[in-house]
Amino acid sequence: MKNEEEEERSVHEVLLLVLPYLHSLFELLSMNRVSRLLKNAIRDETALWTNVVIEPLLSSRLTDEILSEIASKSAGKLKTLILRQCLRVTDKGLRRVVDSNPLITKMIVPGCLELTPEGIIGCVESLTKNNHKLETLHINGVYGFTKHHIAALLNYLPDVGAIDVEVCPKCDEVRMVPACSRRSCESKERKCRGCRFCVSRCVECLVCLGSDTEVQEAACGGDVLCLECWLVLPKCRFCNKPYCTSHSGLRQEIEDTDDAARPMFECQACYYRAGTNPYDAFDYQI
Amino acid sequence: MIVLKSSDGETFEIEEAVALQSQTIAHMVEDDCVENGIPLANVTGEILAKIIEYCKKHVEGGGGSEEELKIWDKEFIENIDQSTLFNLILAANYLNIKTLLDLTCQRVADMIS
Repeated sequence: MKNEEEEERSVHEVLLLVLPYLHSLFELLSMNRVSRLLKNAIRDETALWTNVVIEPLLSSRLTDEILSEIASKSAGKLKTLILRQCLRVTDKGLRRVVDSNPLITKMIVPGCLELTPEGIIGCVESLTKNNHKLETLHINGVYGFTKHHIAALLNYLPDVGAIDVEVCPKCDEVRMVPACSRRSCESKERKCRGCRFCVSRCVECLVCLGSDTEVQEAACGGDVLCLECWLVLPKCRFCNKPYCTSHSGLRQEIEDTDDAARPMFECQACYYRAGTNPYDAFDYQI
Repeated sequence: MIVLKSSDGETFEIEEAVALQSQTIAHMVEDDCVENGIPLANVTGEILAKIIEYCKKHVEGGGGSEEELKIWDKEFIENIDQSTLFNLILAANYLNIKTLLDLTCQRVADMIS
């Protein structure tokens, strides 16, 4: 039988082993507060800082200064930099990190609105010096990219799929062009190669929805679904439209006294119309 | 066949291919010190049994598709209590079984998120 001290030690050992598997910086910083032992381990283990992931919980607080501090903890060995919706990070801040961490192989910066195409191209150039190769670049959500920028980037990252966006063959804009799960769309020459504005797709499985397929509307305005995905999603009890999984938080759950019955919900539109006749023309004037 | 002895006296006889998934055991076999079975002072019989279950399934890629193996792993990891999970992590680390260590540590990391 383990005594208390032994047990505490083995829990610590387990937590130390788990540290590299944590999802993002937020979890790593939370572990800082568990014990002095963990705090010191986190501070001293440079391997823990070679993959930096900043997600929306912390994104709004990340400034260039703080980013530079975090990046310096890997002693120049930073490999993966993931900044999601970090609205305060600028070209200058990113470049500073890139210049002092020439071993970066993955740069994922979706939705970092302060960044510019020129800034990112500068970073990519800096990383492709001295035989080093940047392998992955995600820039969807950074505005201003044109096909000329993409052409320039393709020189540095020629591998297919290295960059998450491409030039849409239908509208020439730089957007994500998703792969299609439809069996007849497996070749590169498929007709449904296009961005989300040019080609209608099921928001769950991304299968293309041509003119001959039945398109189902979702309760989240604008989203559409294929029949198969529509069938499995729970639906609003009034209008029978489902929310897609990423918008499922918008469901207005209904208090149910009967435990045996399926939990029901209303979509926002139907919820706010409660008390009005659903068959009246909707009066938008408030 | 290789004989493993747990800290609480249980013995397990397993095929070499199964045991060699542990780098620690592989090194011992190389150094040729496995004559009378391998004593594992840090691992109890209960945990060792679980580890052998995992290693048996993962010999040569599991004999099924990658998908099937993933589903098996998911079942395996979701049906153990926290105490067993923690002990598995320590044992997988001691025995140096990378895939099992990845599976168990990721599970705890996911629970922390």
